[in-house]
Amino acid sequence: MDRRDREFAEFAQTRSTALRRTAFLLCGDWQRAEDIVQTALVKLYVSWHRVHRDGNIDAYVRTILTRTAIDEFRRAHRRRETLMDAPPEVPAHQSNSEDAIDVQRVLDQLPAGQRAVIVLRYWEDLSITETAQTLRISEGTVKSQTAKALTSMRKLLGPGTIAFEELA
Amino acid sequence: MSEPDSNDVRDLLGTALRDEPPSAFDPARMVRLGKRRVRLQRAGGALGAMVVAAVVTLGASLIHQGDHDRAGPDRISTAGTSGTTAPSSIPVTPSGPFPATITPPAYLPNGQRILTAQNQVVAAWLLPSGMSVTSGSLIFTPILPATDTGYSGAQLNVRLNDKFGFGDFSLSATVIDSSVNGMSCTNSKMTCQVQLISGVTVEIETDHPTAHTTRVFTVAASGKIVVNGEVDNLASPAGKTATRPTLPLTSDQLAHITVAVAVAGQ
Repeated sequence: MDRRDREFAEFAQTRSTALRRTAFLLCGDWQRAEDIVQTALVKLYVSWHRVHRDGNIDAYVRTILTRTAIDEFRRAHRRRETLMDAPPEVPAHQSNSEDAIDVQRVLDQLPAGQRAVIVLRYWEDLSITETAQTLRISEGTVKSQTAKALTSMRKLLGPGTIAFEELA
Repeated sequence: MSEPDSNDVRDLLGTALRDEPPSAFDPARMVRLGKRRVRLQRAGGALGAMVVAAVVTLGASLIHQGDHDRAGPDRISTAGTSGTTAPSSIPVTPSGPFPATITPPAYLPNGQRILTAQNQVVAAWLLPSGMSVTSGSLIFTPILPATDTGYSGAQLNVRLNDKFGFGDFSLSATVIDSSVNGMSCTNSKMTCQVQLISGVTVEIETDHPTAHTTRVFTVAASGKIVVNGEVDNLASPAGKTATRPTLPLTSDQLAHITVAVAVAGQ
């Protein structure tokens, strides 16, 4: 392995778990999450010298990861979308082992853009500005998508699942 | 107006990860896949460049034919390519040692015409199909040796304005070395023979002062030498990307090098 390969492998090893979790939250499937991470890392490898020199590796790979995941999510969503006469019943809030399934089900109900905004802002802890840059949308759109997503999540999960701090 | 407690949302998202399966992540595999991707990109670019070179050669041959038939009624019009007509007094096939000054030939031995001054514009119909370059926006000059011993100063400058708004993107290629020393040992007792491997090293530098997405450029020289590069300033909004490939050109080929550049938007 040359220096580039060593540096890249070290980065990939260090960040793979976090990237995989983010990808899973974005797409909802562990196998697809692995594929998305792989796609992002391969693209990173190709541009490694420049990205490494610019010192913004995390932002680069996060951007690739998010866009790939959104594309995947939309494709998968189109494939499995079915028309129904009435909206599905809202499941009652459950606890413990079924929480994961519930949250996943709720995330699956969100449009890809809203889901990405939620994951980037609250899981990756990005600012509104950083989220807007990653998704290439306006900050206003980030705010509105966040509000819509949170409203949907509260409805689907039931009251009390997401606390709100009242601001003046 | 209300804002959610970000910890609540984060905790909620965290619950979705409870059933995380073990990962079989292998960084070495990522390296292998990355290398393969690089190879594929180069192979794909090389194929595209061959097509570009073929079309450019065909177009240049048509011009050459048109110039030979200048007095005839069916002369190919070069309207819209002002400044591209090469003076006919320039020798057609230079041979022997390289000239001391940059004096480009009007035509290559194969009849291909090259441009003879800076900032000349290629006729739109000379551009290969598929190139996303607006009419009259591709400018190039040939790389030529400055002297018979050194090649510094021989330079290609290209500016492109494509329909994707690539704006001030520019690419320059400079011959910075005329040879590559290769060493091969004939035995294990420090008896080595130095071989001079014919080749030139060309520095290709792209300058992308404004933010754009990925662009791929291809340089085809003499119809068979190919250099591929990629400008991907997704992460770096502006800056320069340089590559220094060594081209397997013989000295004679170096005197007859032309370059075509294709910028493909993705």
